[in-house]
Amino acid sequence: MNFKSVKLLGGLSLLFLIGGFSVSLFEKRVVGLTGVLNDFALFSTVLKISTLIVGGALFLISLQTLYCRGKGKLDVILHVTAGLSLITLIFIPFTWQTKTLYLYPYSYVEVDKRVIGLKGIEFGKFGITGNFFIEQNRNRTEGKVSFNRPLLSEKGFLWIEGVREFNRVPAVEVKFSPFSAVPILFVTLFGLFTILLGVRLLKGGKNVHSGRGEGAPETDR
Amino acid sequence: MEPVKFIVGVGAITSISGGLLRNRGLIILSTAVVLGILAWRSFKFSYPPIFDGFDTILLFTAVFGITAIASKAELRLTGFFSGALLLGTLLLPTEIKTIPPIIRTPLFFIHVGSAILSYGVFLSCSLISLFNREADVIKPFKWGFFLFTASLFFGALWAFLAWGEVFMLDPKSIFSVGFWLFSAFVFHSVYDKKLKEFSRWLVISSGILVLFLFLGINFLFGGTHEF
Repeated sequence: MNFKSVKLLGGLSLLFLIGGFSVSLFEKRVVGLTGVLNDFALFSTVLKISTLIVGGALFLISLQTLYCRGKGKLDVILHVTAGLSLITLIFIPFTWQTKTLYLYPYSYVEVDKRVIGLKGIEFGKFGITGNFFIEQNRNRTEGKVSFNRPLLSEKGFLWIEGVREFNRVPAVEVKFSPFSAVPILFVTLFGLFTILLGVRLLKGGKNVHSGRGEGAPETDR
Repeated sequence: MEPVKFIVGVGAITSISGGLLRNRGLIILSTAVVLGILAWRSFKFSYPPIFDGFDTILLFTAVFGITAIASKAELRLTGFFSGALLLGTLLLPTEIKTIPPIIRTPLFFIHVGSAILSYGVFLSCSLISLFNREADVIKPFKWGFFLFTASLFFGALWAFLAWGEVFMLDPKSIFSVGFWLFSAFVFHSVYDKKLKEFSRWLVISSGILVLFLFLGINFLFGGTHEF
C-alpha cells in the first residue's frame, strides 16, 4: 500500500464521515473532548467502536499529512502544522481533563491541591460575571470570569458554565482544569496552519505534488 | 416596495442583462451592488445580518458571482443564476433575526461568517461544475477550503474561551471536520491521474455534503449548533 496515495486520504475521510455519522446517531448527549475519557466507559459498544474509528481515521490522516509534507519550505511547514495540530487534537482527551464544580457566592472548594473560591457575582447585560480566586501553596491568583472570558493562569483555568439555584441561593456552575499547554498548543498550531494556508494560496505557484509522483502511486498508473 | 428590495430588483435585472449580453462588466456590477447592500445592512444593524434567509441568499449570490468570475464560468449561466437568486429574495422578509448580546462577539461572527462564506464557495463550485464542464473550479474550491479552515479555527478558539473545550462530539462539529477532510481530498484528487477524471464529480458531491452540513444536520441530529 502506498501511504502517499490520494485514494487512501479519500478512504480515510470517508471512514471518518461514516464513523462520525454513527457517533451522531448513537450518542445521547454532547460530550466535549475533555470528558470523552471519563464518559467512555458509559458509552454503548457501537458508540465506543464508532469513536475509535473516528479517532483512528483522524490519526492515520495526520500521519499521512506529516509523511506527505512536500518539498518547499512553506509546504513542509504547512503540512507539518496541519499534521501536528490533528495529533494534538487526538491526544487532548488523554492529556487535558476538566472538572465541573458548583460554588455559592463567598464559598470555596478544594480541587487538585488548589483552593478555588468565589468572592462575588454580578449580573449584567452580557450575563453573569464572577470574581474568583485560585490558591495554590498559599499563592493566590484572582480574576473576573464571564462567558467568553475565562481565568487562564499557571495555577489553572476557570470557566463559567451557568447559574443554578439551590434553595433560592444562586450557585455558579464552574469548569476547572489544572494548567495544560495542550489546548494552547492546538490553537497555536491550527492558527499557524490557517495563516500559512492563506499565504500558500496567495503565493500560488507550483503544487507540492507535481513531478514527484506523489498522490499518484506507481501501481495506479 | 421597500428600498432594499428595489435595489435588489435592479441588481437582478443587471445580472440577467449581463447573462443575455454575455457582458462580464454587468455581472460584476450586479455582484458589487449585492455586496454594497450587505455592507449597508451590516452597518445599519451593527453586526453582519447573516442569520436570516434574505441576507444569506444575498451573500450566496455575491459569493456565486465572485466564484463564477474567478473560475471563468459561462457568463449566461452566471448572469441567469445570480439574477434568479436575487429575484427569489424579493419574496422573503427583510427583517433580521436578533442575536442575543451574550454571543455577539467578534469570534462568533468570524466563525459563522467564514463558515457561511465557505459554504457559498463550495456550493458555487458544485453548481458551476454541474452546468459548466470547462470551468476551472479547483482554485476557488481551495479558497473555500481556506475559509472553512478559518471557520474551524475561530470556532475552536471561541469554544476554548467560552466553554473550555476546543472540540465537542457534537454532530455539526464531527461532520464539519469530516467535510474538511473530504474537501482536502477533493482538491488533492487533481494530483492523482485516475482520480483527476472524477474531480468534477467530487466537487459536485461536495456541494451536496455542504447542503447537508448547512441545513440537514441540525434538523436530523440537533446538537450545540442549533440556532
